[in-house]
Amino acid sequence: MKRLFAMLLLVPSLASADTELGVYGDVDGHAHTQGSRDSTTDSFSAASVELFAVARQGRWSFLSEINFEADDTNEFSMDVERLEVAYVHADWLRFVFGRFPVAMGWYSDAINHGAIFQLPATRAVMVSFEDEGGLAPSHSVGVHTDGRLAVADDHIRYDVELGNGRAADLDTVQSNHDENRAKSLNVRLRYEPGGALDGLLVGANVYFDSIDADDVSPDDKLPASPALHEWIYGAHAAYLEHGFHFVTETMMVRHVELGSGIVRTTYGTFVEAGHTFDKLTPFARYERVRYPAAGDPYYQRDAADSFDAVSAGIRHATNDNIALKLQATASKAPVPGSSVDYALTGQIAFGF
Amino acid sequence: MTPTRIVIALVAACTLACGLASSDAHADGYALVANASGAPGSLAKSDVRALYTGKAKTFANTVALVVVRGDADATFGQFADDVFGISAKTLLAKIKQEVFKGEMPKPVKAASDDEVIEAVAGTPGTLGVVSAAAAGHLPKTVTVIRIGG
Repeated sequence: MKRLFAMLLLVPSLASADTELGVYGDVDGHAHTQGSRDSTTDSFSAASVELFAVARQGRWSFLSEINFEADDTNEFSMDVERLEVAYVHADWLRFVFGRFPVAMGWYSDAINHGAIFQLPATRAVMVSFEDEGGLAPSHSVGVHTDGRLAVADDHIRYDVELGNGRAADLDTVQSNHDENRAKSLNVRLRYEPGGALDGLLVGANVYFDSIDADDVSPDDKLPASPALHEWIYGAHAAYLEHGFHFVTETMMVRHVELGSGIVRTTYGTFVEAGHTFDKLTPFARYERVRYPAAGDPYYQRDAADSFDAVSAGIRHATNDNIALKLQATASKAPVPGSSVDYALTGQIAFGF
Repeated sequence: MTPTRIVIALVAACTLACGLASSDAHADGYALVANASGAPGSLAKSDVRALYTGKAKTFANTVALVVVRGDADATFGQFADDVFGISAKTLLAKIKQEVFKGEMPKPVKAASDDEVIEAVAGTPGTLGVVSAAAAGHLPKTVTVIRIGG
């Protein structure tokens, strides 16, 4: 690992003087409780550091984001989060090849790691990464195209993606090869009004994928996932101008089992708002996720995993490279007898 | 010359003068400049905002590249306030985020009017901001872009 790290640091100077390297990450402290001593856990976490590199030559550009991340076993592993080669033809047509964040909703490709750019300390669960409980895929490997077209004073932005899609194992991004021949297709359309509403984004998504059956059930909570078709429909709006931070997303995920035709539908939504006063930005968020009553074998979650959560916190932009955050969250499953789960997160996010 | 013609001439002169004053960036203490190759004579504020935040990816038929100055730079601060309604520090943070997203190339950093002009002159598609005084004696390869409403 040390040798690899050293090689990565050397690559920019060897490859091109124009390559720029950045380092991003965060160190955190967490506490969770349901009100009793037995239900209380607390930890410090220094589990993520990212090497970010960009370079450009004419209409071509390169971007990579390599994340060194510690998982539940407390061992660091390396994950290439983004590996993008892009070609800009015109404002109305850009191609991106490689591994990229899925252009779905606002969060997925607006905040892909780089905690310093994220207002809250944690993302809403529905837009978390695929290996952290997110409902939708957050990375895809394939071809992305986008463009922006003027319509009078307004603009329409489109994104179309063809990728390997999701693997039978929910956590896996198919970076090397596709387990099946079917490809995922994602389409996002956004309306960007001009004039007084300049800065507002309103958009919608449709995503389709065909996913193979999984052989094993990860924790035997639900049966192993059968082969299925995944449809994701979403809508979002965001406004981040003049000190305001407003983001809302809603998503419906339909898993259609091949053969039986059984449909399992999961819903998620959140709204997040804040306002910057000099270096301080207080914020609040409400989120709601509903899994199907009978459970979804692909997610390995059922109605008891559904929840409503309210978060509030504050971000301090300490300097150009450091942001301090403190966030409190209360969440509860909508089932009788469930307890409220309280969480407190402190974070130092950095980007150099 | 009849009184009617005199009035028409005065109105036309005032209209022209007012139009130039309102759209000429020199009057604001800063000027948006660009590499002269293929550059338009003017841009709407919304177009300038789009170029400086990666929403618009091309300028003058090539990939857009912006030159930025420090957050304490008075000229750049005036530009950020006038065009974006935010501080230079906030604008630079926005640009940093768009670069991280892959929406725009990493900007060129400049510490003076001369450095901005040198960067803009060297690469087609490049835009920067200089003081109004510096905009008065630009090389032929650099042109002033008027900023519209």
